[in-house]
Amino acid sequence: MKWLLLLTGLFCQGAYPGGDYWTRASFVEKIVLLTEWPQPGLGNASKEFVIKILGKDEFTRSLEKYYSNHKILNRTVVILPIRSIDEAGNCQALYFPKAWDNSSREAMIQTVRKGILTLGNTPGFGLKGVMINFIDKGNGVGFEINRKSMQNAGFKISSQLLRAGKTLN
Amino acid sequence: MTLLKSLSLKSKLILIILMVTMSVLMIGFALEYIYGANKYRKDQLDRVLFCSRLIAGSITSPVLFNDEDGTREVLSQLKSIPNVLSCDVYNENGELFVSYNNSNPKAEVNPYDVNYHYRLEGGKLHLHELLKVKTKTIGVICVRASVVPEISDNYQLLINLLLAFSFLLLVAFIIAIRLQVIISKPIQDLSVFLGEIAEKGDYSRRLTYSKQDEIGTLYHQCNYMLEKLETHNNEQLETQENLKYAKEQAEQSDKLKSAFLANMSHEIRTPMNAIVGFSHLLSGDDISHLKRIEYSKIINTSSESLLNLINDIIDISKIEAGEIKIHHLPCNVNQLLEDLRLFYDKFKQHQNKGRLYIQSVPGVNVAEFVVQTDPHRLNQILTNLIGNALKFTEEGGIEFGYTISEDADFIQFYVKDTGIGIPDDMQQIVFERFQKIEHLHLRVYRGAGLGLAISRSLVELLGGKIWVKSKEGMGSMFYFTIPLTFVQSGKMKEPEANFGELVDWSDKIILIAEDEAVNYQYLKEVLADTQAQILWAKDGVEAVSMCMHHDVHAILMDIKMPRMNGYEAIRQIKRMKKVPIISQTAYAMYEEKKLSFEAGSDDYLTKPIDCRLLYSTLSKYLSNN
Repeated sequence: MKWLLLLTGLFCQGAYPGGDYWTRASFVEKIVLLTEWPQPGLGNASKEFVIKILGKDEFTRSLEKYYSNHKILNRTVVILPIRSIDEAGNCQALYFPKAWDNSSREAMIQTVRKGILTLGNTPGFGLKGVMINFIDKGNGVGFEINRKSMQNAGFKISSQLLRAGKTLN
Repeated sequence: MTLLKSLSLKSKLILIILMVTMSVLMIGFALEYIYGANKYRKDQLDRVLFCSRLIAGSITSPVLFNDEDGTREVLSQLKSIPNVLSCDVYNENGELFVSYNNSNPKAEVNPYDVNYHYRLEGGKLHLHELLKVKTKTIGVICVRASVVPEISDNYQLLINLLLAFSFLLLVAFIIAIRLQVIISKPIQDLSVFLGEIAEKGDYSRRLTYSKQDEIGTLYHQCNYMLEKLETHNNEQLETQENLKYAKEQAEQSDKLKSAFLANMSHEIRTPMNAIVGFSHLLSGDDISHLKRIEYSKIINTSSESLLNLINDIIDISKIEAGEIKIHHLPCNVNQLLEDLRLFYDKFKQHQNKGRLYIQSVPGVNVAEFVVQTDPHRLNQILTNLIGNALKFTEEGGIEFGYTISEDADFIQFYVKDTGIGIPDDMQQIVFERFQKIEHLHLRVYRGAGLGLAISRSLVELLGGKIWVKSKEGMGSMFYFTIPLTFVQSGKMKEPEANFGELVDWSDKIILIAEDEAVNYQYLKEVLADTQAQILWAKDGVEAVSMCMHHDVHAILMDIKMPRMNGYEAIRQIKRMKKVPIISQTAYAMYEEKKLSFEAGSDDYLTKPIDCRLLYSTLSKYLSNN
């Protein structure tokens, strides 16, 4: 079974060239493990971990694929595409695709206040306020941590996460 | 062990202390080594566990985010822990993620199948530490480490222990040398002390030791033993002294015996010569009446001289045997002196010394000066002294008398003469037996040399003392004292019947038991005037037989007789009838007298029998009859 998963992984990596999106998708689960959600916690009585995406790209497809077989914090991961930031309620994470227009800073702040972990996969997004922004690191994958945004949103970041990622502020 | 036995006490103590110390140190260091090894192992285990946990915490995020370089960088910190041999990190799928210092990193078993946290095997620690983020296992770290000290470490430890061991042994040696003195010094002192005692034989020395331990007890016992030895030694010395004294006494006795025999031979043969010679002349037919009287007087005088000598010998024997008994009776001293003066006034004529004056000087000028003493012994002392004075005086005279001491405790007699005097060197020994003053240049004086010895003994028995003051050629003055106890003159004893008084025993039968015809004849002649009927038994058997057939009123019993001796005869006669028996014997010693009285004798007379005494003794019994 493990060999089968390994083969699937290799296949997926091959299917999404230039981004190692499969790894990035698996990082989401690990980042959530190292992050403590603000009170009252994850909420969502349905025991689901909802990731809403503001538009589809290679990464969102990797997410869908990866989390079709994986859980986060023992919750079933639900990927929900939304059209505007106004629909970002009732979720645990919000992904901003590369094509997302970041002109609305006010909307961003509101999102942060809702205690939603914001994810990005675009260089520069971290500085713009996205809490976790995946980046290339050598031949592998890394991520930036906007600690201020996370702290403002009430998240507590483990030291392990801070050691693993690149802290922006 | 043989060597140990031959060592000195000091060496033994040091050796024992060192051996004990060495044993304790060896056990201590062995325990320390074992404890140290265990502690080292535990410390290393704790250290590896701690470091593994630390490493595990540090590599969680690199492993979580597949950061091999980050993981390797963290593992490189294990260089600072030399006993960590290798370290492998596996991801959550059980695949080797990063390996540190492992030449064969391929896992032999799936690390997740290992059911222990850590395991020690052959001094190696195998540790499996799961990497977890919250409840999720993201990997496992496998550490192999050595928890036993390196050989070099062991060597170093052993060298350190050896150095410490040597140092402590040296300290123990120094302490042992210091402390052994506490035990060995008193023992050595004791040994030296006893050596000196054995060498010098001075048992009066004692040991001193103030502590109350076993050595103190030993010292105390030694002192006790020395006390015993000293006592025993003193007793032995005393015995030796006694033996020496006894030897000297025996030698002295031997000398005295020789002197006695020499004296006696001379003093007996001289009167005997006169007795035998003149008796022979007296038996001649053509002797005149005047010559017969003269010869009889000479024989009589010589006999008395011989009797006096025998009496002196008996007296000195009785004194030495302690048989002289003092009988305190009232004694008229002035009368005694006057009697003596009268006697010696006549006696000097017999000695051809009529030219000498004899003078008595009473100290108390009363007719009766009566004191309590033994009159017979007092008379004997004065007779001896006056007789001596008369013997050694050729010109002048003799004066005797007494004085009363100032506190009236003693009466002091004196006998003064104008004789030849006593040389200074002789004055101390004239009171010894057989010591005679020989005036070699002029003449030889007769005498056994017993008179003054007897006088001294009698004076002492009476409770006084005797001494002499004399100057050679000028005369002598003898003094003696006796305790003074006054007695009223009315208590004087009535004189007993005297020889010469007429008695009529014509109705009496006196049995004389005597084997010697001469002795019988003498008694018969003495008693002839009494007109008593005399029976003669020649031995004890005849005496008993005659008693059975005659109504005997008194018996004069000889002791030494044939067939049956006097003792047995007395016993048999006394069993038959009640008759007074007077022993008359030449045995003059106390033992014989005692045996006679034990056999039943009523009285005792010693030969030669004094006529006056015989009469007075018989009168006691025949008058009562």
